[in-house]
Amino acid sequence: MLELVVNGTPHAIDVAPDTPLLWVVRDHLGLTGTKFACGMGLCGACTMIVGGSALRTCVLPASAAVGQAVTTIEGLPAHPVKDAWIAEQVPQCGYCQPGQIMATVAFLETNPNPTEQDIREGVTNLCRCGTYDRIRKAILRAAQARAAASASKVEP
Amino acid sequence: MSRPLVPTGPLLNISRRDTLRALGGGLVVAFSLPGLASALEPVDPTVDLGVATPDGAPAHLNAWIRIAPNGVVTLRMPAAEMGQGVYTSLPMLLAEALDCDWAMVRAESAPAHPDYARPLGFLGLESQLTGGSWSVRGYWTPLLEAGAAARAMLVAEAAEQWGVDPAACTTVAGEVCHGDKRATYGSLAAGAAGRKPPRKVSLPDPAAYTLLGTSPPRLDLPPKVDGTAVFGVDVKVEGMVHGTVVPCPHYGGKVGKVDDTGARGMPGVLDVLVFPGEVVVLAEHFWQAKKAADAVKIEWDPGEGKGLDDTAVEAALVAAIAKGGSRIQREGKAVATADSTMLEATYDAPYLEHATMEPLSATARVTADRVDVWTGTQAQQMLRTLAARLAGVPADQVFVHTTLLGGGFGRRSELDAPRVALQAAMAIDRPVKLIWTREATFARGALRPAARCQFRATLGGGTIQRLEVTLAAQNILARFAPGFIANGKMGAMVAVEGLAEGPYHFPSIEVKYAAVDLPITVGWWRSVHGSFNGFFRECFLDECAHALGRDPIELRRELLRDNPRHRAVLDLAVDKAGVVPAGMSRGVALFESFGSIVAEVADVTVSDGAVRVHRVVAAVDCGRVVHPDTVRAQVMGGATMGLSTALYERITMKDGAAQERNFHTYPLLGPADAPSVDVHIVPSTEPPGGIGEPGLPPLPGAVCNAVFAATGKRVRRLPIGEQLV
Repeated sequence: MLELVVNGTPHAIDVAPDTPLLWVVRDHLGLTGTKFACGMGLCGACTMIVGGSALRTCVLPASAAVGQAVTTIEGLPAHPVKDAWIAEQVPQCGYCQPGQIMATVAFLETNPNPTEQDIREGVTNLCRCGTYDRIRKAILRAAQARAAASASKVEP
Repeated sequence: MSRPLVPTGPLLNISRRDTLRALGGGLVVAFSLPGLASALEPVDPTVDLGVATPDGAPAHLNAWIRIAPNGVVTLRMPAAEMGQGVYTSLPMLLAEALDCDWAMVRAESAPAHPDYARPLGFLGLESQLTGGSWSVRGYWTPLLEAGAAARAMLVAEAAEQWGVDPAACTTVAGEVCHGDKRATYGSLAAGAAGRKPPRKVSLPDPAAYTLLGTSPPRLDLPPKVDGTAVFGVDVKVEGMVHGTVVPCPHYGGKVGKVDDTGARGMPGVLDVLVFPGEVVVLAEHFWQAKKAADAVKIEWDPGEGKGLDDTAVEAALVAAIAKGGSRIQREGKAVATADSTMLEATYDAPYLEHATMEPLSATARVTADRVDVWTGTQAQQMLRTLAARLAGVPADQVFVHTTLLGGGFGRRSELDAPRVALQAAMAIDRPVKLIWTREATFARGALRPAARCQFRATLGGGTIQRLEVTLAAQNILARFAPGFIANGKMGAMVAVEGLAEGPYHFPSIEVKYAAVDLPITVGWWRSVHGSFNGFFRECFLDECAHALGRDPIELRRELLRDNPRHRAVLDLAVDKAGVVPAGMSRGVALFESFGSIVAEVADVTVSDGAVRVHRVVAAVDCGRVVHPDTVRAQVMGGATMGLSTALYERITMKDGAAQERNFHTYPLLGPADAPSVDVHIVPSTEPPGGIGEPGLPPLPGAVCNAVFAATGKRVRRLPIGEQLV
């Protein structure tokens, strides 16, 4: 039995431990918001946040996530990144966007005030619809919103 | 006034020739004009696309429009949502004429049924098909009429209840008004549904549109941002088994010897099915099926594909051009002058894969009297016909559930994925969900054809006196249309789109198409032939300008003198692009396709042979605009995908099999290389044009023209790849 904590909920799952985390979450836990696209960790559609890092879970054995907090798009609460994605009307087909959003959430944790070049290098997920220009705008918008939110927290 | 609800039952069809018709409990509009629907089907709860929200009302039956007592307006979408925004633009058409509250509008996918068909634009044929950038164009009038008819019924109901003249009533945002009386559509819907539909409706005055031409937030985005949107790979059906597909990678080949002994004993494996063109492995979970599929030993028979490599493909294209092809356009006579010179060049473009981010997937359930298919398809009606034929049931026992599409670009107009799912479900008598791996999806590409284009221009008197063009490529239409269409002028006109009868004025022009017969499957790929014809024509025009010593933009303006719309688009793009930024080089291209005109300006640098596109400025005239933000998004997306093809994409062949099977060997443009794309829309009251595809064709030409400006090197073969190193 594989013991995983996904979106705060502990699960004991009867699955081969080398099964990629993506497929455990999709097929065994029924959380299909995270997408399969390349199976080689090349595109990022399968990005989840595992132990605080954005990881491409189509090539991550589920056993590697034991003892770490796993967050999927379904477990992401109301968040400035999701708000920014709506405000900039980013998605087209939408298939890669949960991965883009999860990658961005982790990216902004480590780089809360990115430049455009930081974004180009830091969020590398592929999008076939070609929404990159809006993704960049949304990331900048989300960064500003996070900064504003934290500023309002420290001020009385 | 209460009326009995129509019971929830099997598909109930009303003749499409019936006039407007309503059914109790909710408002149903079925109209008599071609392309309007009246198909009624119980909503299947198995797949919630995450777009429509439950309205808390009884299971209302509907054609296009359903209005619940709480005022929620649910609109059925005949076209597939694959990113192009139709789940917002089509509801806007209905809502404009219905005059409902946009905040109460929901979209859901319509079933596959001939009544949801739209005209295909030739021979009077129609189909429920999402493609050709046709959804807004094809459904424009029918949806306005359906909305207007529903509004008239709501007004008539209110007028009768109040004892007033319907003509004295008005509507505003989901309410009917008369003097100080007001009634919500939700309160009137049940009564209105029982009324006789109007014989004639008046459509809203374009000058008074309140919704069309604005950009409300897209209806499909909230579920796409919170992860609840349902794509083909996300379908869950009770009792289903999971599987994956290993297709024969050789075009024209088939499955040979199969040894599945190792695979069958692996954990969770339920069955290994061998079909002529593919092997299907079924298991309790996808990953078990995938691992077992890797363990099946398959010998492929390459068949016709044997020996077919890139050299052979190019030889076929060269030979076709040498043979001459068939003449598609001939106008004017050669008018060489004493100073005339000849300029010749040949251009090449490779096979391309759609590379939708969602790999192929479909789920099927086949029982004695009912067939269900859940998949992201662009060809709902053809899928319905195929499923009926495979299962041996009448078409009205087939239920196609169109999920959201994780990218389509033409690939999901093919029926291979649902076909295999249906065959597998029938073979094991259980519901089957198949997800193809990326490698399997690449192996079964319905590719953008490779093409070669030969130009010969007579230059003199400071202009182009004569242009001769011969295009060689496989004929996409050959698989879909009868021979007399595919091989006739219509098939050829499809292939030479933009080369023949283009917007530029040449005193003399001759265009030929040389069809090439190869066993490689070619299909509809975003912008189809425009994807290479834009590159071919716009780059050769640039060559002509330079040979004439003329500015490429000025030469284009002169050649567009008979086409002010095109010239205005070019001028707008150039004007908005402004001065060329220091250190950058600029290229320009223009292309009309799918009823819309797009000009793109690319500013690039070339460093150590690597092309970096910093900014694209686009202008578009797509006639009357439904949703400007979607127009901007689609042109941005088309230009970005076009850049990906210009820089990187190429499928190569060995024994008739694509050698590239994933993104490490078939790289897509990534965020690091993606330019900013500014899109400017020409205000227009002309009939609407398409928008899903027209943003792509100008981009490769604009970039390669900029590369020439930067380096003096003329790129005549895509992708640019390492050519400039």
